[in-house]
Parts: sequence; structure tokens; C-alpha cells
Amino acid sequence: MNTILYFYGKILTRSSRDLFLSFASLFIGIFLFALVFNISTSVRDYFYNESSTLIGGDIKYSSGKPITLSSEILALQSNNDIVLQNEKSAQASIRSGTSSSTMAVSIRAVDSNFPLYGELKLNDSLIYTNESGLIYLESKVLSTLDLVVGDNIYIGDLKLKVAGVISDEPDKVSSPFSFTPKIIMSMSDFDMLGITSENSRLSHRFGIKIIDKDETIIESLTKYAEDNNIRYDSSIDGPNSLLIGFKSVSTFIGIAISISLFLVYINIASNLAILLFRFRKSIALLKVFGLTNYKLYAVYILIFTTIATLSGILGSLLAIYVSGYLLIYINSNFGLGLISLNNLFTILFSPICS
Amino acid sequence: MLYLTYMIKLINISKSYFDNDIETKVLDNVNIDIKAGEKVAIIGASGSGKTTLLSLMSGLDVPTNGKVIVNGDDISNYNEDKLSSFRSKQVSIVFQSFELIQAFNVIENVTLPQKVRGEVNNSIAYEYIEKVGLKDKHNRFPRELSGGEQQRVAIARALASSTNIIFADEPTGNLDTKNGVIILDTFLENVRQNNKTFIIVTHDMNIAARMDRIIKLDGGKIVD
Repeated sequence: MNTILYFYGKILTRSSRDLFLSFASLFIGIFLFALVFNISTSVRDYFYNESSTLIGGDIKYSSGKPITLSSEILALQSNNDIVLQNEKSAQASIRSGTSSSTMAVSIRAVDSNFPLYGELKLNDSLIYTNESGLIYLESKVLSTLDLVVGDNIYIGDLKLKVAGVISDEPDKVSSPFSFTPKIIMSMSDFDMLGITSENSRLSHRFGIKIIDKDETIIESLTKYAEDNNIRYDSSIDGPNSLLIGFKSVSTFIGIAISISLFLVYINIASNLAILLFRFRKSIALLKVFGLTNYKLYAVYILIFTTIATLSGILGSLLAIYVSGYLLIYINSNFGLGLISLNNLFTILFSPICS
Repeated sequence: MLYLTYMIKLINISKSYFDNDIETKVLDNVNIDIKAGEKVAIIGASGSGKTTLLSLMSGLDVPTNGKVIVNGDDISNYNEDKLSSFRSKQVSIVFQSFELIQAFNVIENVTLPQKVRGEVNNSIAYEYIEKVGLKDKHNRFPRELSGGEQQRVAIARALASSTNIIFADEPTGNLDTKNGVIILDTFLENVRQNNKTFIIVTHDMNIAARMDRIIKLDGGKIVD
């Protein structure tokens, strides 16, 4: 054992230049792989763990036509087995009470059960209430129309008071293809706008919260949607409509992980070959002077293991560190809670971050 | 027991190399007896099989036919690990091309065979480093030494090793005449003091003349 450790120590310290190239190459490979893997798994976990919040219910019905609920579903509501949250959305043009400038917005009308999961967060610690006559809007609307909280705006002839600026909408990802700034108002005000005729381009949704997550209720709710051609998202299977977009991203991430894994594999294999080539003379000499195959294997396996372990640990740690900051960036710019899922980062680097 | 009077006994040794089934015979039916403590020179033209013969006797290679008996043991059927163990315990080799480990300094190269055996005697190593004229260079690396100095490190490595047999393939080929004589004297002194068997491959007849016996090879056969 002493002989093995002696040659291991000597070769490791004396061939540091040759070994450093392998270390650096492995380090970069493992860093990139771990970075892609960590971010993609954080995003995936976020989508799956937070699917009820992202959808806005355990099941959410969506349709371009008014959705008629069956008597069985209404009975479930009466028995407090489920909570229903009704909402409608439409594109509209709004103007402020003091200027003639207008802008296109997405109106989201919600009933008093909104939000079923999560919380609608407002700037300046204001509290959301679902009262008629109040409207909540994104900051872009506020700045474009030169408004402040407390001002009045007009949608058609309806006069509404700005009650807060939306900072985080729990289920905002459920309508990812709405590019216009959003405003949220009560269902009763929305119905007074007069854009509820059959020809209006309205989207109708019902968010459903299932109290005991009873499988028979889930089955009956999904079966009702399928039988009546109502599109639905279910947090039980993951957020389907969200994941239509995410699946393509997920596939891309899968391909990226596979490619980076393949590159890391090629990297390790070629590194081993290059290292063995560099050490071929030393290996031959040690053999000539009587070092047995077993001891030779042990010496070089120890060297390769040291290089691989060091580069693996350092590359992974750096990847966790960098991905942590990337997730913080995504979190602050897109309002997602990714960082809370990156527990390893929190454990390892929270002292540094704080 | 019959072979114990000999340190090395080669019986009907042949060695061939094959390339696409074409046989090249390097040694053909060679028989040699070398006694313990004997000093033998192997001479011959280039390609006569001298280095191959040395490789077979030192356990670096195995014969195609015949037996190699060293110190009473037939090493011709040894597997790789047994040959490694044999080389470690029984023989020291000086190569024509030094064969030093570049990452090791002079003292580490000299003590290399001892390290392989798991025993180190630095005082003997320093003694032979001094004898070959590299007293102040024991911490130098091979790249910091001239060709002649590297060869002297390789010689010190063979002398400092406590083995019964020393094989040397043109050990003074890279040295000037003066240093060549000094090194050969050091070799012979070490061999005499420790009753070692010494087999040297050389083209230099002056060196060969200082041995107990000369074996001449021609076309893979021993000639008188």
C-alpha cells in the first residue's frame, strides 16, 4: 500500500501540468452539465409542484363559449366538495379619466373566489379585494396612461377606480400568450361593460378547487370536460396547457442534457486516453522495475479518481452557485418561485449570499 | 538443483517475431551458461540479437522456444506479474536510452527500484550518485541533465539496487572515454564487492576485454 501511495503522490504532484489540463477540461464539462441539469430540474419541479397555483385550480375549464356546469358539479359545490371560481377575459381599449390617450389591455374579470391558490400581490403593500368599482392593473398601464393609484379610468362608459398595481399574479402563467398588459376587475363590473354578447371574443374559465382531492370527483370533472368538448388543465397530471409550451422547452432541455452528458462522456474518455498516452513511458518503466499490474492499476486509478472527484465536486459546486443566481434572476424578472426549490443552493451558499 | 551452479542458464533458446505470419528469427537455438559472480560481455554487429538476448535473460521478454533458468527458476513460463516480481528482486537493468522517469528527480529515479520493492536505503543511493559524479545534482530533474549525466543516473540506479544480476546495454555509449572508464570501474568494483553477475552488451572491445568471458553473436547464433 505504501508503494502505491508513494507513486500516486509523486506522479500526482510532479505531473500537475499534464493533470491540470485534464482537470480543467473535466471541470468545464461537469460544470456545464450540472448547470443545465440544475436549472432544468428546478424549472420542471417548479412547474409540477406549483401546478395548482399556476393553473389557478386543481382543474381548470376553458372555452371560447360560455361554460354550462352540470347539476352534478353544482351539487358538489353545494356540498362544499369543490370550490368554483368563475372568470372571463377579453381584449379591450381603455383610457384615463384625465387624458384622451388609450391603450389595448387584457381584461380579466374574476369572482370573489379568486384566487383559488396563491395570492394576488400588489405594490405598496396594498390588499386586493374583489369589490365592484375597483380595478387592478399592471404598472405598464399606469405609466402609459400617466395614472396613479386612486385615479379613475374608463372602459367604455364604465368608470373604475385604480385600487392597486399588480406585482405578482399567482396564475399569470396560465395565459402565457396574452401580450397586452393585464387589468383585473370584478365579474359584476365586467358584465356591465356590454361585451358579453355571443359574438364577443371572450374566454370563459372555471377554476375548480377539490377539497379532499377525491379521485372519483377528479374523474367525474375530467369526464364532464371530455364529454362536452371543454378544454381542461389538471394539476393532477401536471399543467397540461402550460406544459404544451413547456414540453417543447422540456424536450429541448432533455436534448441539451443528453448532448452535454454525451460531451462529458467523450471528454472523460478522451482525457483518460490522453493521460494514459502521456504516462505511457512512466507506466512502462514502473513495469520494467517490477511494479505489478495490480499496483500500476491502483496508482493510475487513484490519480484519475482524484482528478475526476476534484473536478466533479468543484464543477458541481460552481454550477449550483451559478444556477442559484440564474434562478434568482429568473425569479425576480418573471415572478417565479424557482429559488425556493433549489434547496442545495440555499444550504450551501445562503451564508455567502446573505 | 542441477542449475544452481549457474546464475543464468539458457537452453535451446529461440526468439522469433511475426508480422502477418512472416517469421523473423532473431535468436536461433542459443545455449549459454553464466556462473554466479561472472562478468560477461555480449558483442556482435547491429541486429545480431544482443539486446533481444539481454531482454530474455532479464525477464523483459519471453522466448518463443527453450528455457531461461535464472537462479534455479525457469522464468520462461512466468506470467506478467511473476516476471515483474522477478525483475524487482533479481535484476538491475541499464538501458541504452537511460529510461528515467521525467517527473522524478535524480535521487527519486535512483531509489525507484527500491521503492517498488518497498525498501529504501537513501545512503546507498547518495553514495552511488556521488560515485557517478552527480553529487550536487541529486535534486535535478532529467530534463536539467545532459545525456551523459542521465546515463550516469541510470547506472547509479542499477548499482544502488541490491539485486544479484546487473544487465547493461551499451551503458557507456553516451559517455566520453574518461567518464566511460570511471563508470566501468565503478560497475566492476560494485560487482566484485557484492559478488554480482554482470552481463554487458557492448561494441567496445576494450570494455569487453575487461570481462571474464565474451559471447559473440552473429545472425542470432553464438559464434566462437
